[in-house]
Parts: sequence; structure tokens; C-alpha cells
Amino acid sequence: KEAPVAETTPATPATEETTTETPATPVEKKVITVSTKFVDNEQTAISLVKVVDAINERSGGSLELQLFTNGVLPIGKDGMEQIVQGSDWILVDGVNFLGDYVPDYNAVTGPFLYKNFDEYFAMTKTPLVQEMNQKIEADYGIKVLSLDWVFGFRSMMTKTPITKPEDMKGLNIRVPTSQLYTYTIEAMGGNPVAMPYPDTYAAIQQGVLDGIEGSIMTYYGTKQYENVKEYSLTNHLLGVSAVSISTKLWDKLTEEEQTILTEEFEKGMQDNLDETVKAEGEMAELLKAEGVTFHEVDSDAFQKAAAPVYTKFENWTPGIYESILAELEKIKAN
Amino acid sequence: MEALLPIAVLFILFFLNIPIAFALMGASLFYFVFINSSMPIQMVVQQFVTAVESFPYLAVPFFIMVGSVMNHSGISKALMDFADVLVGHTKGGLAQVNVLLSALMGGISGSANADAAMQSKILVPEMERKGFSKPFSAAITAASSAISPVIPPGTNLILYALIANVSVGDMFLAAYMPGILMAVALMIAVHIISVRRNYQPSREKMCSPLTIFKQFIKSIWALFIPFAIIMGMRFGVFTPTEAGGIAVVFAAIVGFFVYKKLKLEHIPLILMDTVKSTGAVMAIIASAKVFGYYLTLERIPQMITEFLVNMTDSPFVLLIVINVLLLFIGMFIEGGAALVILAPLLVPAVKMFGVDPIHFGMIFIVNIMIGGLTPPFGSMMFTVCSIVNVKLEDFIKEVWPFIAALLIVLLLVTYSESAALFTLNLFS
Amino acid sequence: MNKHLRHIGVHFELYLGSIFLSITSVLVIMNVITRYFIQVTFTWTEEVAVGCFVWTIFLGLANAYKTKGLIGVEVLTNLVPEKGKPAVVFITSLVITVLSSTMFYYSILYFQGSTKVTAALEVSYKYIYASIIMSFGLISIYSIYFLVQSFRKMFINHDINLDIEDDLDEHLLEEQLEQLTDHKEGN
Ligand code: NA
Ligand code: NA
Repeated sequence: KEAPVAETTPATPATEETTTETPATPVEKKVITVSTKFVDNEQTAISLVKVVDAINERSGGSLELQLFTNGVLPIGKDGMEQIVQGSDWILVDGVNFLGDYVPDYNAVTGPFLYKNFDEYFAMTKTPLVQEMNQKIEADYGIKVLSLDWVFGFRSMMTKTPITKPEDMKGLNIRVPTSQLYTYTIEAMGGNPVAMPYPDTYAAIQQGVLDGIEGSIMTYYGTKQYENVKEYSLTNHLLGVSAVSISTKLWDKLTEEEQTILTEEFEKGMQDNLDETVKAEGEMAELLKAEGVTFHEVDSDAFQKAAAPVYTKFENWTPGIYESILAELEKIKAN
Repeated sequence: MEALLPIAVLFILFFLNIPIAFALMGASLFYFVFINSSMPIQMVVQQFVTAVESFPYLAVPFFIMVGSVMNHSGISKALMDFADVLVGHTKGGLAQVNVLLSALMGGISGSANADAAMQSKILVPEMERKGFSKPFSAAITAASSAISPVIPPGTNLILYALIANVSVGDMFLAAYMPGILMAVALMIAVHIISVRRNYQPSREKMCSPLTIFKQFIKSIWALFIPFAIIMGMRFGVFTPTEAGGIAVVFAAIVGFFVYKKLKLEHIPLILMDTVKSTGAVMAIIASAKVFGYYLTLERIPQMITEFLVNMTDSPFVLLIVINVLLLFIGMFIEGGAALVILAPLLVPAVKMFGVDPIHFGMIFIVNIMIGGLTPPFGSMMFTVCSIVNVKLEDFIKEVWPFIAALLIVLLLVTYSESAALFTLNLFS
Repeated sequence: MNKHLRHIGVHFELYLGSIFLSITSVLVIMNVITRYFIQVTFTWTEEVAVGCFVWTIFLGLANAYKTKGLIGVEVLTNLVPEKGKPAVVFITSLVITVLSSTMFYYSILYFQGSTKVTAALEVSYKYIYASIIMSFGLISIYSIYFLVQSFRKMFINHDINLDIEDDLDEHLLEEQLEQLTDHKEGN
């Protein structure tokens, strides 16, 4: 019963603080932990370093963001819980972790919706998604600063090329422990096998797995091209992170600080996007040099096959798939 | 300086005889209550519990259970007979059996203290009857028990692998070599002392190859199961956790049907014993993780790395400094706990110097085992001395040659990566 | 008191923990078998196995504290003479009472605020986290018991036994010795 209050009176404490503080009094430094699973050489982490530096600089010492990469501090479900319970904390992690609270986020990032990043960015600005942001803020105290930190579409890395759902028949494909991935691979025609990612390299060599799914970065970064040489651009799921902050912390910030945070994370998002697109192109070249073949797929056939996934989740709002498709139509018409 | 207060609190709690798990928890609570208020304190609980909520750690209770099952399986007896047949005829026969038995038992159990306790009760009285002095018997029993946790499988090897993010299978394979070196070093030391003091063999003459072969066949299960499981892990047939589960099943089958010593009524005892040991081990992991969060937030690992980098740029010097530090800490803190607290701090630092993390693991594991033998607070030393009733000063007079032998092994493992990783490279 | 009842009373955490450990073991082994023989893996097994593992740990911890099975640095106990030992127990029990009751209190707060659901079965983590509440609750009770007993031993009755008898380790060692001495006689 706390959360609605937070929603209706967000600005009050912040304005009070700004009016009572005179420039002469030394401002108390607010230390905020920024936690992410990405390792230091991954683009998201690189862009986050810039964001953190820019914010610390621009706030003139009133904010001190400390970035912890590589999951050394709580991430994922645990990182989200830090926010819900009101730590001075910013989490940069998969949008699916918001889906633990408002399940419709998982529908918005569901299989076979977007042909490119721009369609997804347009989606996050629709009233449909904005309402979810309001709901998660009001009900759980999670303020979503951004949903747009992409790190690439996920496609199939396999021993044989895949162009249509029939090609996936009987293939054992590794998935993370997640219902959405399991159902998606099933719907595409494959056999989902849940196992930790580091085990996959050996599992492919033994023949336990026929392939894995993931972004081009993962493909190159984990040297899976040594095992499997066919990359089929199913683009079945979008890899994207959300930036979330606790409303308790947000409300303690001055309006100016809030603006700084919002703007700098927006800039960081753009930087992350530009660099990711650039890097994907470079990776593709490197992979081709390693003997990897890229394949276009029959997207419409896969999209049709995957439609039943959207009916599998009882906690998704009924009709959410249709609403998303309707929004997509509008986006594509523009 | 305020950032270092929790470390002071930790040492005060250690001194007050607070169990290590609680001391780490207390120091961490002190930090999150009084120094860093950015996190609601209930989130300390989150970190405490999520630390152990992990599938790879499940290997720990399984390998604890394997040791317990095998102890009831009649496997200890098979191994003792095998050790006796092999080295019983040499000078100081029973002392050599004592060393070899610890090495062979190492293949099934990871606990130096259990090994020391069992052999104190079984072998020491018999050694005394054969004319060995009591303090000497106690000293070699304690010293050789340091081998058991180094020979795979062993909980410390698993914990190090998980902390340093290296393969458990690689860690297991590599650890054979330091374990064998420790056994060889102790056997040489025993031989020199036995010749000088004219300690007698336990059997009159060497066994015929046929007798040895027959005993080998009887003990084959005990000798090869651990190895088969390690190879299975190595070649990715199963994960370490699954390997642990399979080892338990195999050990039980051997105990029920081959040696026929394991009985259904042993099962509750084995389970209960495992639950208790698991709780004791994993509680330290959980608390160390919370303490690790404090260290991370204050960026203390970076400070240590920076300090070491500024101090020297030679891995040679770095490893000497770390070895001396670990030997010193090992005098006060039990090895497994030292591992859980210090490995996360030291592994990133040695990696900066280009030291292979598995090689460092070998150094770490051998080092902390030596700490269990040294005064003032070595745990194996206390176990043996209290069971066989030997005065500490008499024990120390007899144990130093063995400590010296183990230190030579430590030096060899430290400065010869090819020696330390011999078995790993052999099977790669 | 009946010997068996006492044994169960002293070790009830271990009995309960054994059940959880058995479930964990069966699930892990089952997963290997199904994967290799019928090429099926169940995503929920890992989750249930880990959940039971957490219960095993915290039940084991409570028992290990009660029966002095936790390792510590024994500097102080080795320094003080026999007469001073109850005072050491009093101090350690006091510290642990403070720590464990703090952890107990915050475990409850954490439990109440916990929002996490598991990945495969999508059930609340609260079923797992109840184990910490139980563990620290028990440890608080035991530490208060040791606190009172050591106080009584210091000032009221010097004959009190401070330890809760733990026959488990003895039992295990005896078993093993029996097997080995069988062999010696047989030789
Ligand atoms: Na021995
Ligand atoms: Na071992």
C-alpha cells in the first residue's frame, strides 16, 4: 500500500530539497551502485562507463555512481529485488527480469516481433508499453529509465543450415532456463535442452547438442564457430537490457539530478546502439573469415509457427499479442 | 580507514572464538549497519542465501557423502591391505603404510581431520607395538593426513575451482601430481628416519608379485572409481555435480555388493553426517560471499592487486610473498576457510602477473594443508595429539622433518609450473 | 529420557535435512539417467534440487552450531585455563545470540519483501527462504541456552555440562574402526 503514495507524490521531496539547499553548503554526495552482468569488454559495459563518468562529472559531485560489471554485485532477479526493497541501486539487465513483475514485458520482447531495432524502439514508446512502466512503478517501486539497451538479435548457430521450421525438426538446441526460450524453440520445431552456457561447447562436440542460439557477439566471443559453422538469421528473440532504479532512490534525487540521469542514460543508450551495430558488422566479417556461412530464413513461416507461444503464458494479459501486433502495424505504417 | 574497520571486527571475532562463519557474518553486518547504508539490511540476507543457491555447489555434499559411503563400504580395509602389501616390508614399514594409506584414502575422502582421526586410532597403537615412538607415530599420521584433501576428489579442490572460475575436472586432474609429490616426499623422510633409528618392517619379506596382484584386484574398485569419475568429468560426460551423484551411487553399489560391508542401516547415519558437514562448509561460503560484497563495494581486491603490483613485477617474488602470507594465516585459520576468504582476493592479482589459475590452485591447496600441522593452532595437529595423547612439544620435535619435506614440495609446485600441472598436461 | 527419543531430539535437524538431501540426490541422479537413456531433461529438477540443497545447508548449520561442529580459531580457548572456559562460552554465546537474532529478524523482513520467482517452475522463492528463518531461529534459541548454561556454571552450579552430547561422529568412527579391526583379527 506504499507504492501508490510514491506515485502520487514523487516530486514533493525533490523540490523541497532543491529549494532548501544553497549553493554554498557542501552537498551531501549520493552514492549509487550500478550493477550489470556485462563484462568489461562488452559494449554495454563500455557505454555504461561513459554514462557513469558523465553523470558524476555533470552533477558536480552531488552524485557518485559506482559501476560494478561482470555480476560481482547482485544482478538478475537478485538485482531487481535490491531495487524493489529500496537500495541505492541501478540495475542494467535483461528486460525479462521486469517480466517477473509485469509479465507483459515478456510478450513485448517475445519471439519474431521485430525486423530491426527501430521497430522495437518505436514499440517501447507506445502507450501500451508506457502503461507497463507506470504499473511496475506504482505496484513495485521499480522506475524504468530505459528499455532500449540492445545487444543484438538472437539467431541459430547449428551444424546444418536452417531456413524454414522443418529444418529445426529433431535438433537439440540449448536454451537458458526460461519458459519463453523453451516454448520458442519448441514452436520453431526444435528440441530445447536447458543447460548452463559454459557447458555447451563440449556438449556440441559430444553430439548432445546440435546447436545453440544467441547473438553474433556470443557466437564470436565464445568461439562456437570452431564447433558449428552455420548461422541462420532467425532473429527469433531480441537481446535487450532495461535500466531500472528504485523509486525510493529516485524520489530522493533533486529534479536536476533526475534530469542528468535520464539524459545521460539516453545518450549511453545511443552510444551502445551505434557501437553494437558497428561491432556486429565487424563480427560478421570475422566469422565469415573463420568459414561461417550466414543464411536468410523464411521469417513469415517462423512467425506463424511461433504464434502459439503467445497463448502459453497464463499470466500474460489476454489479447496482449493482438495489441502488440496492432501497435506494430501502426509503427510499420509510419 | 573506516573502510577497513570490518576487517578489524573480523579478527576480533576470530579471537573471541566465534566460529568462522559467524565471524564473517558479524563483520559484514557491522559494515552494512554502521558504514554503508546504501542497502537495506535485509538485503544482506539475500546475499547470504543466494551465495549457496547454486547448482555447481551441489557437488560439495555429494563428495562429502562419497567419503562417508566409502568409509562404510569396506573400502578403507581394502586400501589398507593394499598399502601393507606394497610397502609393509620396507624399513619403518608401518610408517610407510601410514603415508601410502593417506594417499590412497585421498581418492575417496577429502577430510584431513577424518583421515587423521581414523589413523590415530588404528595405526598409531600398532606402530607403538612395532617399536615406533608415540610422538613419531603421531607426527607421521598428522603429516600424511595433509595428503588426503590434495588427492582428488576433495571439497577444497571443488571450492577453489568455483571461486577461481576454472574447470573442476582440470583442478582434479592437476591435483594428482602435488598429492603424489607430497606422498613421495614424506616417504623419503620416513625412510631416512627409519634407517637411522632402525624402525622395523611390518612384514618380514616383500610380497610376491602374485600376492600384490591379487590384493590389487581386491582393491581395484576403491582405486579406480574416483579416477573413472574424474575422467568422465574431464571429457564432459557429466558435470561435477552429477559426477558427485554418480560417485555416491557407485560407492554404494561396491559397498553393498562387492565388499558387502555397507548395510541399509548405515544410510541414515551417512545422510545425517553429510547434512551436518554440508551445513558447516556451506555456511562459511555463504558468509564469505557477504563479506566479499563488502570487499567489492570498497574495492579492496583492486587495492590489494595495486599494492602487489607496486611492490614487485616478478611473479617469483609475488608467489613467495603469497606463500609466506598463506603459511602464516594457515597457522591460525583452518585451510578450507582460508581458501574461501582469500582465494577471491588473490586469484585476480596473480592472474595479472600471468600465473595460471590452476597452477595457483595447486600452490594454494598444498600451502593451506601445511598450516594444519604447524603450531600454534594446526587442526590436524590437535586432532592427532588429543586422540593419541601426545604432548604438543614432543609432537613438534618429531613433526618438523615432515613439515620440511612438505615445504620442499611446496617450493617445487610453486616454481615449476610443469611439475605442478604434470598430470593435467599428461591427460590433456 | 528414552535414548532414541533423545537422539532424535538432538538431531532432528539432521533427520529433516536427510530427507531434503535424499530428494536432491535422487533428482540429480535421475537427471543424468534420463538425459543419457531417453534424451530428456527436466528443467524443474535442477530448481527443486537446489531448493532442497538450501534447506539441507541451513538445517545442517543449526545442528552443527548446536553440537560444536563449526570450525573456529581456537586462540582464546587455548589461552585461558580450564576454570575460565565457561566465561569464554558465555562471551561467544552472547555474540552469537546478537548475530543470529539479528539475522533472524532480517530474514523475516527479507522473506516478507521477497518478490523473486524461480525460472522454470515460477514459484516463489519464499519456500526456499523459509529455511534461513528456521535456521537462525534455532541458532538463536541454542545460543541463548548456552548463554544461560554458562552463566549458571560460572556463578551457580559448577557441575553443569556445557556441551550438547553429539554421538554422531563417535558412532561413525566406531563403525569404521570395527570394520578395520575385523580385518586385523582375520589376518
Ligand atoms: Na596417514
Ligand atoms: Na581427496
